[in-house]
Amino acid sequence: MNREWSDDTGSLRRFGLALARDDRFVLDDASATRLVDKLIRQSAVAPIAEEFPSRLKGRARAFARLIQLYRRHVRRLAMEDVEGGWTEGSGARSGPAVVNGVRALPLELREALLLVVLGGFSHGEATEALDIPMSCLLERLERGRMRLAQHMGVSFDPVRETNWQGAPHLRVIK
Amino acid sequence: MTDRFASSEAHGYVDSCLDPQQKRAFEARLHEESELRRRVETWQAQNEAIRLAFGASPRTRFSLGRPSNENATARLNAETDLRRVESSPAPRKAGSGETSQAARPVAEAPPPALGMLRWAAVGALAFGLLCVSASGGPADPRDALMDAGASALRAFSAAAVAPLDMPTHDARALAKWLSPRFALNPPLSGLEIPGWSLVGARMVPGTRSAAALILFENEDHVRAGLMIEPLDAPPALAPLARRIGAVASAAATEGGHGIAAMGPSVSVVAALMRGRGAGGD
Repeated sequence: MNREWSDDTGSLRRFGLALARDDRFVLDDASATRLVDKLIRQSAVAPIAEEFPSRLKGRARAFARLIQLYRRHVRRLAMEDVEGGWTEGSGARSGPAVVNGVRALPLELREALLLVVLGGFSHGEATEALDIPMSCLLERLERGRMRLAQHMGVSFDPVRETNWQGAPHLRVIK
Repeated sequence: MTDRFASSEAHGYVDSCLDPQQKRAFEARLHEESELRRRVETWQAQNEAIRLAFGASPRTRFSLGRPSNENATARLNAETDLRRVESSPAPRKAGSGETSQAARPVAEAPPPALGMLRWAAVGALAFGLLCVSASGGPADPRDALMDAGASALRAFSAAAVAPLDMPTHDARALAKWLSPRFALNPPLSGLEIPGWSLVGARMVPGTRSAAALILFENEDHVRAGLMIEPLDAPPALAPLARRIGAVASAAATEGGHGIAAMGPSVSVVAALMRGRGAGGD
C-alpha cells in the first residue's frame, strides 16, 4: 500500500469530487465520481512512472498530483470541445447555492479555494501545492470568495466589486 | 495599511493562518471596521457552507510534509477540540485555544452571527439524515466488510497459491510491519487464538481502500482470517454476524477501522472479534 496518498484518500477524494464537478465538463455526480476515482488511481501510479516530479512531500504531493492530472484532463477536453461550441454555465444547476456557486467558479479560483477550505491547507502549503506565489493565491482567494458571495446574493462595497468583476482568469493562448 | 494588505490578513484570519499575535491585532481591527467585519463573517460563513456541502469535517488543519500519522492525530485533536467547544455553553476564555496548538489554532468558537447559521445547517443535515433512514437508510458498512473479508479469505485459503506479503508466526513482528501502513494504529492486540497459529498477512482489496488480511491456521490446515481496513471516520457499530456459504463471518467498525473476522466456525470468529475488544457474541 502506498502510504503517501492512501492515508488521506477520504479527504483527497472529497476534494477531487468538489473540484471535478463543474458546469462545463462534468455535469453529474456519477461522472465526477468515476473521473475522480480514475485520477486518484493515476496519481498513485504517477510516482512510479515519474510523472510530475515534485519536491513536495506526503499529503501536499498527493493533492498537487491530483490537481495536475485534473488540469491535464480539462485541457484535453477543452481542446476537443472547441468544435462543439460550448457556452459557459450550460450545465445543469441543481443543489445548494453554495455548491452551484463553487461549480460555477473558474478552475484556478475553484482549486485555490477548495484546497484551502476543503483540503485544510494553510496558505503557505497551498502556494507550494499549486506552485504559485502567495500574492497570486491571495488574489485567487479574493476573487473566488467575491464571486461566490455575488452568486449567493451578497454584495460588498462597489469599488472592490468593480475591480475584481472583470478581472480575467486563466488566459487561453491559441 | 492598504486595502489589499488588509484583505490578505482577512483571508489569513478566515483560513486560520495567522499566528496568535496577528490574530488578536486583526480582531481588534474587526471591532472598529464594520465593513471588514461583514466581509470576514461572509467568508467564514462561506467556508462553513462549503465544508458542510461537500461533506468535510469542520476546521481541520494539516502541516506540509508531516508524517501522516501525525496528521491523523492533528485531525482527531481538532475534532475533539471542536466537539468540546460546541458542547460547552460558556464562551471560551481568550487564548485558551492557543495553548495546545499555538502554531496552528484549529478549533475556535464561531462568531455569534455564524452560530445561527451553523445550527441551521446542522438541523438541515439531521433532517436529511432522518429522511434517508426513513427510506431504508444507507447500506450497513458491516455487510460490505463481511463480503470483502469472505472473498479475501477464499482467495487466500489453504488451496490458494498467492503468497503472503508478510509470512510470520510472530504477532509483534506482524504489528511492526502493519502499523506504518495505517494512519491510525490498527487494533492488533490479542492475535493469540487458542488452537490457531498465526500464518502472516497480506494486503487485499477492502470495501473502499486497501485492507490487511491477517491469516490463522489450525492443525488441520483450515484457515481463518481477520481483515482490518482503514475507513474515513466510520460510526462505531457493534459486531454483526452472519454466514456466507460455509464461512462464518462477523464485522464491526470502530476507531477509524472496519474489522471483519472470517472462519469455519462461529467460535473462532467470536474469538477473533473479542481480541479487538469488539465483543463478538
